Amino acid sequence: MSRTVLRVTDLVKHFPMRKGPLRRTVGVLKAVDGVSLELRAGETLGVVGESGCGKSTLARMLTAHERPTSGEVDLLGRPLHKLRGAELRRARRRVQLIFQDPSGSLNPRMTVAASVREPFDVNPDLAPRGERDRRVRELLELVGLGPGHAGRYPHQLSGGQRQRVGIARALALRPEVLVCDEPVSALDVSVQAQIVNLLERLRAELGLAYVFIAHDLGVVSHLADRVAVMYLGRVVETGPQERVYGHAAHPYTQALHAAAPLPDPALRGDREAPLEGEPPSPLDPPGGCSFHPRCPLARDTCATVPPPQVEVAPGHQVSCHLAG
Amino acid sequence: MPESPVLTVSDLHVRLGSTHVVNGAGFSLAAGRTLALLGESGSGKSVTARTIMGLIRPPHGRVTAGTVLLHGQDLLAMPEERRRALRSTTISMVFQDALSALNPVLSVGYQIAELFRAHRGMSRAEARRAAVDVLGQVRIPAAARRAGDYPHQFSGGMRQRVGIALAIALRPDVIIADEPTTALDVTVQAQILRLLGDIQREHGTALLLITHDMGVVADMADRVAVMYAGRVVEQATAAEVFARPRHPYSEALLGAIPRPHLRGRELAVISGAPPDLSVPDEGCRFRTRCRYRIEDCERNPPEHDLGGGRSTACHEWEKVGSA
Amino acid sequence: MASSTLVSASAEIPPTPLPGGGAWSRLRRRPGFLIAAFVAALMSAMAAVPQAFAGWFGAGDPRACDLVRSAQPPTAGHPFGFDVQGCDLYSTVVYGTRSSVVVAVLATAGMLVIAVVLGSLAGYHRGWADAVIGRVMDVFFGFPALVGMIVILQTLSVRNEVTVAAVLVLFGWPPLARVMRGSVLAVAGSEYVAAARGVGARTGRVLLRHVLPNSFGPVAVLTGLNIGLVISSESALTFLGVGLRTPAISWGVQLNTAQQYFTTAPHLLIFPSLFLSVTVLGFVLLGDALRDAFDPRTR
Repeated sequence: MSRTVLRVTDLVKHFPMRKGPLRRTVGVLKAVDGVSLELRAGETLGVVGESGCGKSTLARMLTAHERPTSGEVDLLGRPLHKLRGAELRRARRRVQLIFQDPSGSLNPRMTVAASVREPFDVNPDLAPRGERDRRVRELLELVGLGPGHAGRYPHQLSGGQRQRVGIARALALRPEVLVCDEPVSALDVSVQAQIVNLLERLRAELGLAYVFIAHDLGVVSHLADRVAVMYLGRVVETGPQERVYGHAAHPYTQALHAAAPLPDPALRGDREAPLEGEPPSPLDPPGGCSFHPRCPLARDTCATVPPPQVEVAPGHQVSCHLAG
Repeated sequence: MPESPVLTVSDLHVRLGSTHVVNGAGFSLAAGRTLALLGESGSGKSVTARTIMGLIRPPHGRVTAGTVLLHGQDLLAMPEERRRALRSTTISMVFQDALSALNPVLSVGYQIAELFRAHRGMSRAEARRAAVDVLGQVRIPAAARRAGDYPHQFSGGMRQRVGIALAIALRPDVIIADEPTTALDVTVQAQILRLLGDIQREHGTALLLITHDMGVVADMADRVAVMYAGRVVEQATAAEVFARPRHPYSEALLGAIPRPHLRGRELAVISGAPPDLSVPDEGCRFRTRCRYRIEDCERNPPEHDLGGGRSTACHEWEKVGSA
Repeated sequence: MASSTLVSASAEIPPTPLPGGGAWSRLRRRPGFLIAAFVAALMSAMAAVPQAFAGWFGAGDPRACDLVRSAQPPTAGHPFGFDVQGCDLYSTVVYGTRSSVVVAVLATAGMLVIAVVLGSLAGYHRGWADAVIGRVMDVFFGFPALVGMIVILQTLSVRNEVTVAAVLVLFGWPPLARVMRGSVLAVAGSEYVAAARGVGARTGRVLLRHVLPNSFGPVAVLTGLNIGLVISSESALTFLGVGLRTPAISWGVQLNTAQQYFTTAPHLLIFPSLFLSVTVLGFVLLGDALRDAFDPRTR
């Protein structure tokens, strides 16, 4: 088994909700509530979940954009959650975040070349001054952009091209891990395929490891080696792609699969009834198993006792009273 | 076609500013059936929907040619007064963002009741009862109590149910749903799609479903009209399109979706970019990205009728999809 | 100061304007902008080199006065007539532009500096800095600014362009700072700022390269409106007798004198106020046009 590049243990992020002129704390939003994951070199870990499940907050903690309330982020043997200042800046080069909204992640007043050059300008040791323009050209070429794009501004590019610029900027630092937070959700299907292919090619060429976060089960299934399913700030099921897709053990994972519309009219009709209700607010999550109010199989214990994590197959863990 | 169409759009041309957003779009929708208008951003699908609803008006946009026949009457040639009377009663719309279609300072029950009072001349009390009834039909729990709530008090999925309630309140013959589930989570999307399907069956409404999601098309549609660069490039039943597309664009779109058997392989991509619709072009708009391109593509292909209501706008349609 | 107008005008402005190119091409198509820009440019030129304009009619020297002609109405060669001292009113009005514009420029520049510094501090660092600055602004918003300015100016022994401008700054910065704060707040939360931090950029670079250029638009636009308001405030203070004093030449001083002679020599009031109104209107329209051009929703 290859080495572990990123390991998070019992990661928690609580946002205090404040109100009124005195900014009193009126509640706690439990965005991420105890997540442990592991990413090995060259691997793609898919993270799926619906809005509000905490997957974006997780992405921000993995890349040191957000500091965890508690828990550990271990990046290549260094405790990312503890580092500060220059040490943090050095360490976080190894892990970069790809954003969802490719138009929001580029400064509208900077050309493509200036955006991709920025990592070199703020980290002078990456490349000597005279080399930088050449490196920028190489990076743009690597993500499939020509020299003609270098002088353009973000609003003169298509969504797919902007996402390529964001990827080029992240690659400038020679990271080992890319955390992609819904990188193709804002793109059209045909463009989405281009970016998915690009990410696959980069992984092979540069030996990158990905944490690929998405709500689209199809894209995750295409890219991921292992998949983690999140619900209300917790990972409810994790395992190899073929296990989580072929032998989903958690009722929520099963419901997600049933709900995803498949591009095949022949499969219409033999679909299960959709899950009732909507995900509850992370401000006031249900007790016991947080999925129990929507769970078709819930029993009395589910409402009171948090489910244990059960290993149903090698590397396939499920947090459910009914599993195993 | 066996069924008589309730809505027929033919040769529709719409300009927004100097951009020809819709260039000869045409399709027809049979009573009680679902037609999916499938396309990517910029294909003109939403503008087509808004034109049918009469929401594209100068100075923002102009219909330069074409007809929209609803029960045989041309909506575009009709005086605004008569058109307004048809809206809600005969044809109505569900928006992607239900919040934008609702007035934030009026309770949802009041807004639905207003429809009954304006179009059916009901009294306040009658209209309110009717509104609660409609909210029940879209499966909003405790409808009588929730009718007094304001739009922002509803969750995303519940809001979209309210949007659907507004659209079906007066039992229209045609509902246009513009990306009704795009903003929703997968599990909620499934609920809303099921609801739309149920209502359509119960009421016998025809549904024009605007979407970019091929999964949604496969799930819901009887027929599909694929739009590219403001034109319908292929029309067929959903099963036919998925089994054997007859236009290079439909074929490419289907190839771009990740599917289990494609794992570990490259997805098919459509090279190049969509055309600039502000520049006039005599040829097929897809030719620069098309792998079947021949010399004839310099002139815009006519619509080939393949029988059984199936058509494609491609010179080389016989070769497409045979691989 | 009419600070409430400033605030309501600012609430409409989105934090991230479009890149300059689009805004300029839209500006040039607006006739209102061209007229306003012309008036603003003309008044600025008049303030910079009054002698070039003052000689167009009559004497050309505002200090060359003849008491015999005191308060005489317009005649040939002296289209605006004469003031109480018998000086050519046209040239005094032209020379009066200078102090009005100087006060306006000084005051606006001062407000901008404070607004950018405090607004960025509050919007970018949030926390206690934001809380303190926010409360200080609230105090100024609730305070009757005119009364405050009168009290301070009356206690000052020296009253020239600089001191008047300083007092205007003291009471005029909060609306601009509030807009700056909101705009910085929005930009600081954007993904490109997060991305810049992600590649290792320090706070200084993030502020100068990413936050300030993208958050300055709304404030720049407000500045146009603000110049007009400052000019009228300066005149109002002078008119009330707490601003500039004779022998300084300014529109406010001229209006202050003119009020006593309104029935016998109305031209003394009409011409300076005409200049004042046109200038204020010019700058306000300029600010308005800028705001519309930078607002993507008005395209």
